[in-house]
Amino acid sequence: MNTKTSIILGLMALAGFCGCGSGSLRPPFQITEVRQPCDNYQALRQPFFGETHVHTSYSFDAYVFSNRNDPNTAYQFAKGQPVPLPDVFAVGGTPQTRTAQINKPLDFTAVTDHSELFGEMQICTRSDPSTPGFNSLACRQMQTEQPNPAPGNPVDPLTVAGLWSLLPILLPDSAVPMPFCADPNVDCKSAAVSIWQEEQNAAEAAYDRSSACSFTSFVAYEYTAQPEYDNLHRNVIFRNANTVATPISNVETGGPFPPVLWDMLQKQCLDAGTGCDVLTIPHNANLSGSSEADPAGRMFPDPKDSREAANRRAFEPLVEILQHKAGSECRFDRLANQGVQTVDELCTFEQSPKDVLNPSAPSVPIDEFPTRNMLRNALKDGMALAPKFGGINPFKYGIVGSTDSHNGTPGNTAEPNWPGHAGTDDAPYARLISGVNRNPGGLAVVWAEENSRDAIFSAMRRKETYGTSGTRPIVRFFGGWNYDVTPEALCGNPNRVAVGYASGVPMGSDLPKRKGNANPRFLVAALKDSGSPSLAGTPLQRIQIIKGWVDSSGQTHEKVMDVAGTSSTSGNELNTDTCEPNYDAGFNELCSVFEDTEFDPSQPAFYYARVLENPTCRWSTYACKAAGVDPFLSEAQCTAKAAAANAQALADGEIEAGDAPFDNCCLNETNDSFLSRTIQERAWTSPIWYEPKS
Amino acid sequence: MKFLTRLQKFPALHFLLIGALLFGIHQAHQSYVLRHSPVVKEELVIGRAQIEQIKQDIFTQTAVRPSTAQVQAAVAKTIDDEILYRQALALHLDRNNPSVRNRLIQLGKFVSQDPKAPDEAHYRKALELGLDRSDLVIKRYLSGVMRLVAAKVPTPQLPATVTKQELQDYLTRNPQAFLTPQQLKISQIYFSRDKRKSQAEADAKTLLKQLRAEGKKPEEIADQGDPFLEGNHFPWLNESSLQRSFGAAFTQHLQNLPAGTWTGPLPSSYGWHLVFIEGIRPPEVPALEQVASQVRNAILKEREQQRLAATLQELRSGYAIRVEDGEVHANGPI
Repeated sequence: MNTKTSIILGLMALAGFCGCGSGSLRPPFQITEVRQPCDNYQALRQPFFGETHVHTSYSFDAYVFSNRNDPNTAYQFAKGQPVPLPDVFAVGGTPQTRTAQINKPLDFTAVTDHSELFGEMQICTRSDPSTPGFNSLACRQMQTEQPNPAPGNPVDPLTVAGLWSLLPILLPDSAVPMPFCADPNVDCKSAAVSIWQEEQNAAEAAYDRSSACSFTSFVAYEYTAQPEYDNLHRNVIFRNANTVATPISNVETGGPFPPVLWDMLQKQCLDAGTGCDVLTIPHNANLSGSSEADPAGRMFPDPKDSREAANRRAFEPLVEILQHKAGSECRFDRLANQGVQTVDELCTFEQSPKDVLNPSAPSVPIDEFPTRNMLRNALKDGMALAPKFGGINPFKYGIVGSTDSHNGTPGNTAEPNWPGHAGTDDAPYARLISGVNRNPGGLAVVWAEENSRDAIFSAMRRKETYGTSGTRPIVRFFGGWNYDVTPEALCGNPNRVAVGYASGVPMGSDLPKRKGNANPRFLVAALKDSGSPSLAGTPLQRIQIIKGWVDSSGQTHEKVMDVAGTSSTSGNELNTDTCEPNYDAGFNELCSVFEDTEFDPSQPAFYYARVLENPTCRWSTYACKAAGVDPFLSEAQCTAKAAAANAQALADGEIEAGDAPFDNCCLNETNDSFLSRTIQERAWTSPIWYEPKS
Repeated sequence: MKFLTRLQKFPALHFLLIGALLFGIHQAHQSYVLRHSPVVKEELVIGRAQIEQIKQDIFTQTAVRPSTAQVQAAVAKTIDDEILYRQALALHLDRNNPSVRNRLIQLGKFVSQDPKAPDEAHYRKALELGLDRSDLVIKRYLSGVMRLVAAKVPTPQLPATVTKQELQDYLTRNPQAFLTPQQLKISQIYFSRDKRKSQAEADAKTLLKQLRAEGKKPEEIADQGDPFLEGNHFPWLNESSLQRSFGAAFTQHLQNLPAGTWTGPLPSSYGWHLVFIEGIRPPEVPALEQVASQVRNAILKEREQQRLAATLQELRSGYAIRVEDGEVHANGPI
């Protein structure tokens, strides 16, 4: 860090600490929109909890499961209002008998509907019946949820969703709109513009431009590239109200080609001269599969050239590490006692047995899982690949989490009474339990000066973000060379955050230039989730720092280190009968300064922090208990209860003969590779990188 | 008539009614009779068999046996749909309607011996067979159109435009929906429960006495208490931001504290806190200019619901509705 930067950071820190408020200094981020300055400006930054991935009734695969919550409703939910959900038996959107309400409102949300099929959705679900195309077979499928729409024929929304995605989303190397878009007078392109405008109107209506700065929305959409069920999805988030005329979807890019997406965003957004700015966030690397060309995985393939590496770096500062379709940090199979390039046993957390989105794909053995589809390995490989691409590390990702809710319910991450993620697809209980590997999803947290689009977008760009598995611990992480490692010197210093900024860098940055022979030092501090009126926050268990590095031969390595709290459990953290945590066990706050004494200045490295809470009951444990199958019973008892619950469900007509969803309630730490009855909710910070100077 | 005049005054919906308007006089007469003959109310019966079918449909579609309330809701919707469908027929919304025509051509092809015959022939054939009155897709479509018409077509009482005065009145009548949240500006001193255990509250009380005796201001408290990760001094924050930092109970307690003096200690999720409230900005009704578009949307949405409800009520009064099931009645929650 040069002297000038230090002074600016120092001033910034001072301004924040003295509480002088806003106005006295220009904010350190560029202001690109007209709005009132925020009363809640804080130079030392605040954690804003939000969501960068949620679907509404404008997404084909949400509407078809009878979700009727539109983007306006989704933003209302984020702000704390109750919203309806379809009944278990709803068809065609009625009736909406369930309700959902978030425990604690969010600070920001980006609604990200599938841009593919926007035009088709506008015509089929949001147009007057006399609109050309409204009565096409495809539209009637969407309206009736029947693959073969006629009275009396079976309702099967999953199959309709599959039929709809076939051409625009699932082709291996091309993409076309639904065939009815080619019918006379049918205009899917104009229709797409109209739904895109509605998305923007909803975001504008939800955005608080007053000085109270109580809520930020982002205009956004999802780019849904999914060649033969390999998940290459990206959420595309715009900085302000200046966006593209029509979303650049998988159809616009002519097939599943993220580099084409970046080129088109460059041209139509960044270079348009309109003040447009944008970033893309990939999700579910865990389901991106592999191919002959990309055996390590398709989400993070070797770049074609330096230009592609640079584009990926520029457009994709962040990756979504966890959402309802499982996590992508790292993977460990406890039955095989083997991981994907890891021995970290905490990597059993929220895994999908499959490695692609295909519902009928088989589970993948641990030694065949594409290595780079777990983010930690991609972060390591990125450093190893950098020399091949002019020193550009293509996988320099910061971290967020999100839900990917298809209910229009952003941030609905509480484990008790989780209502599922996509309308009638997984409404309680039998249907929900049949998808036992899903989870409520996570949250995105940004450290920003104020709750405004420019402040939050800038934080995302500089990766000063972390992801959580759904709870809301507050986590700070700084790296530098001369933090005082004397116990309590920094952790006991009321100005520790100011010191963190002034003598180092926050999460998401590169370490400043090395000073002498110093080892890198890291200040990490966490406060537990402060809880909500309906759900108290769980105490913290420990903080870990995870280091990845590349040795001189190009081999990658990793090491997981406990730096605060304790790894030993007393067994009294959780009452497994009631699922009530013991609020006197564990820690309200943790803090540590860690020095990497094994540091080798010739080797590139990254460090990120993982904060673990005490164990709590997983959503499936709550749901199974509610259905009368307590997963904590002995195996024989549980199996008997599950058999009874299955028989009852069959007798009640809830399931078909041969289905046994409640057997999933008896999966546990001894008989399943990944599933746990209790989970340790967690936070992952963006890494801090060290790059040796050549 | 009421419908007809409404429809004529709403050019945007004319495309719905290409055929219907041609039959204006006829339909006006019919709908007049339909609505104003208290003695000869049209019968609408939801029979046992139909209710069984509704239950069976729900069961087939969802594999769950519906509760009485769910059946109730489904029956009420069936009645509404039936009434809207009959009204659509009364208004001849099916005549010369391209959507209905396409569907009938499709149906005609199904039953035809000669699928290559011209569309017009299929259309005639389908009409001959009365498929326009028996096809459930057409029925569903027409009730949907009618629902849309009822909700969207403005009435003199519930027009499509909103005057500035109406905006202002709505805001005045519903200030709660648009209030800016209360904001507080606080400083705090933290006593960690992890560090001080059961002593934390007593330590806080001791310091409180001292601060009050010395008349300390918020800016004079450096190094007091334990370091709090988010610092001692906070900007203007609303309730939800305060909850994020301190938890719900703490935020609740704050509401009752006086400003301008050290108070507490208050328990939070982390320990105990002495608090100095430096300022309170109560919730305010924003100026109309700031929320005009939200208010307009709220009014228009409310009017659509009112129009639909009024129309359904009006139409229902023209029917003698009978539900042949002891447990289920005609008016259900939807």
